[in-house]
Amino acid sequence: MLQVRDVTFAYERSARPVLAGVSLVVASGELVAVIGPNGSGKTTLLRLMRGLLRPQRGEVLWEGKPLGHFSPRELAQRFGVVLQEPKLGFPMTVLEYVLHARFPYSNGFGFESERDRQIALSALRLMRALEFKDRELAELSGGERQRVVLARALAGEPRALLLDEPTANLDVRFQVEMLALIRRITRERALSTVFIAHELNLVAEFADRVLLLKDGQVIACGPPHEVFTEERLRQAFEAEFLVDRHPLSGAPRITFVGPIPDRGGNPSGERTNGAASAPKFVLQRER
Amino acid sequence: MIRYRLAMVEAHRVLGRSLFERGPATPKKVAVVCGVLALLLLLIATAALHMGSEPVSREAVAEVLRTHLFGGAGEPTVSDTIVWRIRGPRVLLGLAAGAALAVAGVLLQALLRNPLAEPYVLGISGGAALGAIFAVLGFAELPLLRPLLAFTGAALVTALVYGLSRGRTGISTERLVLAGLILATLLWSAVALVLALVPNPHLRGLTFWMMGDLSGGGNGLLPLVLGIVFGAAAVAYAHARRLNLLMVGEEDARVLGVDVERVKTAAYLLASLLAGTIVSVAGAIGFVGLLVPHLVRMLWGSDNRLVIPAAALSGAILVVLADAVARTALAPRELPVGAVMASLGAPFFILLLRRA
Repeated sequence: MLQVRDVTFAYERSARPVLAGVSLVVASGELVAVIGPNGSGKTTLLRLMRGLLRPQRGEVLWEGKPLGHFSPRELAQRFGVVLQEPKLGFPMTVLEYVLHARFPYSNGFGFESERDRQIALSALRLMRALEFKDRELAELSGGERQRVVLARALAGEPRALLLDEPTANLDVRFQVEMLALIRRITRERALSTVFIAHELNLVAEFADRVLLLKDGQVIACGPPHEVFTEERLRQAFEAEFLVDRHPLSGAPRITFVGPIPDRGGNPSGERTNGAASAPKFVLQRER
Repeated sequence: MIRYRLAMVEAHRVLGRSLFERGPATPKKVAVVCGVLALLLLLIATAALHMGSEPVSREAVAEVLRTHLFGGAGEPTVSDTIVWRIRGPRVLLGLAAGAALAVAGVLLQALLRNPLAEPYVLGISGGAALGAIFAVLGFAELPLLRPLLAFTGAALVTALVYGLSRGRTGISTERLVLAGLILATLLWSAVALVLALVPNPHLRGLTFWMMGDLSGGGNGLLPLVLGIVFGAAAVAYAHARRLNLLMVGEEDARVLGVDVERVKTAAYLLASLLAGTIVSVAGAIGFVGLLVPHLVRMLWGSDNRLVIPAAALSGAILVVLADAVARTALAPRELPVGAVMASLGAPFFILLLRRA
């Protein structure tokens, strides 16, 4: 179980905090999504949860103990992290890259064992990336690389997964497949999984709970049908949404309507009288 | 007979797979690649002993080696003096220089996460040269200070280049290469200025040294140099796995439990030590740290558990070879080995820069 308790964080002492009073509990086997506009502090939260940053106030607990209780090696064994796409200036094969995840299980020297190799290969198999294990990382397409990166996180046999936009660079079918797979692994291995995503409808479909952030503050936290309301989405993204139910799954279905026009500075010249009469369908065809 | 054939087929398969395959290093692959390179180095080093302005026959070289290595009475001959007193130290110094500069390149490249990093290109050799000259000027009677001050100069410049090339988003290739270029120009000008202006008898002959010169054979410091190079390379090898992770990214390495600051400090100090030591006895031999690691990675991938020993051996081969060329190309005149290396390395650097 991963617990974030009333965490406040600023990159510089004097600066405005990037996160203010954020709390979150992620149980084993639970899939939690963090959403919010750009710059709302999502990635910072992920870094705090892994202990890469230290909060000025509040604390992060793993299995009831503060992260500081664990050695770097123990934390590396427990957390599978995908932060951003690797930028590599050196040739490296997929298998070589995935095997890096076995480092926290070594004494720091020597070579990977046959068991390490088998674990890396089965992680690749799970992500359907086994067929390009000998290819260069730089030669992969965005979607292939995304799968390899996740395979590496899994090859560390983690108890928790922290994923920064695991569905970025994927086409819509792979996005669905990726999230279905992440959910399945989360359940089967009883992982505490947190992921950041921008595709609200996919989040509504797959996440057990959703944390909605804006300017470092929690707007809402709960199951998708509680978090995805027109009111809260408007507050977070400063835009109009329609929310109804997905006809097949019953999950909230979010339709983007359009940005809330500036009061007084409406580019189309139409006068609007505040939010109450904001036009519902900005996305309609231009005249 | 059949069993012998099968063994040969198997050996051929293992050799072929290890020699022409990228990917994670395995003990077998490291052993095969390094074994082949070590054999090659042995052949080339022995050949270098009988090449030069005064030809010594293979038999004479073998005789000298046998006498000294396995004991045996023999009158000191001319070939003995040439092979054991002049060429031997020179070949050994070239071997140490090549290995050290190649490993320094590997370390700097992992530290800066940039395949263009190299002691000469980044001005680190210049800093070491200036340090060495100060040692010669101020403390000529203390030869040990020469590598020490060279190391200090190298370390200062490495820190400076690192600071200068680091922007808010990390280290950019442009900033790195520019910072290195400016520092290198400045430092080498300072070296040239000191050599031109200071009338010190100890500085005579240093102009040749400035361009890379192995003829001194270490000037009595050869055992120390060999010890430092071997020791530093061994420590670097102990960090190979951590360096692999660092090459992907600092945060990435931290996530996997690597003490990033410690590994970075080790890479930084070892690279400065290797480059500084070599410059203090052999001057500036550029581009070894650029050419060699690149070729090694191209052939066998980037796993430092293989790259560090393979680059050390290949670097040694390259410099011993380049020095043999420098000694024989225009014999009896000698060329500075640094000039030979630069004429090989500079075009290669341009090629890399275009690809980066």
